[in-house]
Amino acid sequence: MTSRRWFFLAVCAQALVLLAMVGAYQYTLATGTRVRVATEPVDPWDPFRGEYVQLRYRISTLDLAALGVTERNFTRGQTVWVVLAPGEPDWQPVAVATARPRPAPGQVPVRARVEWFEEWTGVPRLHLRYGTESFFVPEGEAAAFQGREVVLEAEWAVDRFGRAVLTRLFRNGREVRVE
Amino acid sequence: MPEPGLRSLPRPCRDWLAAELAYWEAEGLLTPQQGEAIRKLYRWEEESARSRTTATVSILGAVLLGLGAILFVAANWPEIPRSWRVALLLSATLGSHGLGWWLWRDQARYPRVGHALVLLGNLLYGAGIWQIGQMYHLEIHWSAGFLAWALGCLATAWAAGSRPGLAMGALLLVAWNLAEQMGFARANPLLPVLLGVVGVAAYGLGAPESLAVAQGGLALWLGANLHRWQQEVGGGPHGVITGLAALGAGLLAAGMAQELRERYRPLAWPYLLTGSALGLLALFLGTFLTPPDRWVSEARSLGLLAGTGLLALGTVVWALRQLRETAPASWQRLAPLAAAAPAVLAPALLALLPVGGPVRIGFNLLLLAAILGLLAYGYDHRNQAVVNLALVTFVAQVLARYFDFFWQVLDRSLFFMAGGVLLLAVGYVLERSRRRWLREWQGGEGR
Repeated sequence: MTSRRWFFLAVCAQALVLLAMVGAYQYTLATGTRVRVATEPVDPWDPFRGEYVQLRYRISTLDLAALGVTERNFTRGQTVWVVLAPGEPDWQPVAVATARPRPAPGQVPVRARVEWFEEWTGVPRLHLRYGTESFFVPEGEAAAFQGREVVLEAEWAVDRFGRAVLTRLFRNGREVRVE
Repeated sequence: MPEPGLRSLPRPCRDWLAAELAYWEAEGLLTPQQGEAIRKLYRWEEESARSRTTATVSILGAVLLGLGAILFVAANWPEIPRSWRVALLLSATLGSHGLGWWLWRDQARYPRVGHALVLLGNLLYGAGIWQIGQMYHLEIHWSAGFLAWALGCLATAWAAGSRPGLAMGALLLVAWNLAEQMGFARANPLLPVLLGVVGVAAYGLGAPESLAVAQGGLALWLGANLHRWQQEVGGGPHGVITGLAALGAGLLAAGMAQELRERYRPLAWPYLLTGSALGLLALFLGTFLTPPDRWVSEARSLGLLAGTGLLALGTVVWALRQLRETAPASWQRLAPLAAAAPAVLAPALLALLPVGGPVRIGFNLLLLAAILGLLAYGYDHRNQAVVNLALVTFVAQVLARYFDFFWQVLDRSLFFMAGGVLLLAVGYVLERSRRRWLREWQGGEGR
């Protein structure tokens, strides 16, 4: 094969990577179950991607004893499954498993990554990331998402592979444009 | 790679030879035909100052445009719909690559500008990855963005034969590894494989700078993993230090072997510099080790150390074979191998030594052997960088041991005065030797 063809293939591969990133999001958006979760925000800045609101969900820290989970052997970076059940107003965790669980009707299993496992306080807590923790905003607007008076809630779409994407964000009950 | 049969020369030697050939011809020592025959032995092509300026300006332009694109991304553009933004990113990336290829290869009239545009295409591709991540609020395992960027960059660099592109891809792989090891605490076993691919491509394109980046990345990867595993099993930093010393010795031996072969000589310097710097630094740090209460006991760490040692030993054996095939062995030529061998054997020797003082003494002896060996090698091969590295380490070693032995014994004022005199004396002797060597190498007056 000529170097021209190799170069053409390499450039096409670059385009495919970019399109695959968009496609994976659109798939989850189109097929996923909508789940609403409560958050606690902070506001960092990413040199590559600009200003964003770092979302910390209430379900980012799970009390394993309260959930009846006896497993204690968690490692950083490990993938776990959190089963969410509809609640009012937010969805609540009902189980945590290291393998994909079989949820009851109406429940949704979501994939998460273990940040760390905390046991030294006497209460076994699992700190997780769901991959939906960043909400990018135009420059200078992150401050509007800070403060005690700001209540944020997020809506996810969760596909059949347990992948969650952020679809909507609500500030004090009003929807914020995600795009 | 250089053309087969043609000998390459460093630029100062080339300039010197060109001037001398003209002089010899003028003096009647050589006929013009003989002069031409000698000239045909070497690679003489050299970029003019003008074309180098064009290349530098074009690449700087590409880098500035790429940085601008990334900052534009960081500033966000909420007014444009997502689909338009994706289309814009894709068309900018593809357009830059396409126009770059056309100018560089198809037209061949503006190769440097074309090459710079291909580099810009790679920067825009990276900007696209982060921009799409931002648009869709994607953040899970963000380090994968660096991997995707690096792979895309390496693919186009290989296909287009771009040395700067290859170096950029290698740097991105190192960035990806740092993110994996520091951000996600992962061992990242894929990195050595990918750096190996970079190494193969670097030989294909004759790109020593990418080899240097790959070797630096490999050292970081090995050091971080040995440190992590050492922490898991407890004990001191002995595994990290001996592992890095062995890697340094292996690289050094590989570099020395390549110096013996004309074909690989242009690619030898990264091995020599990275190997010397890594080996000397690791051995120097080893001289500060407190006696280990526990040696590396985990199978993974031992396996990694043994693997590194064997790799290094293999390269030394290879170097010896090359030596036998290319030239009669002389003591000067064997000196670097003698310097490399103790460092290669460091893990085994230190594992066998009883805990306590012998470990530090062992590291001191290994370091001195390495310094002497590198000085001999640098002198023999007229490699100023290797000589300088060895001399700097020697001064650091003298200072460190001076502090070790006399800090408690001497009065403070006397300690500093004696230290000052010692440093001045060492500096004088070293500078005099270095100038003499330089004078001899240049065949004229040293500076």
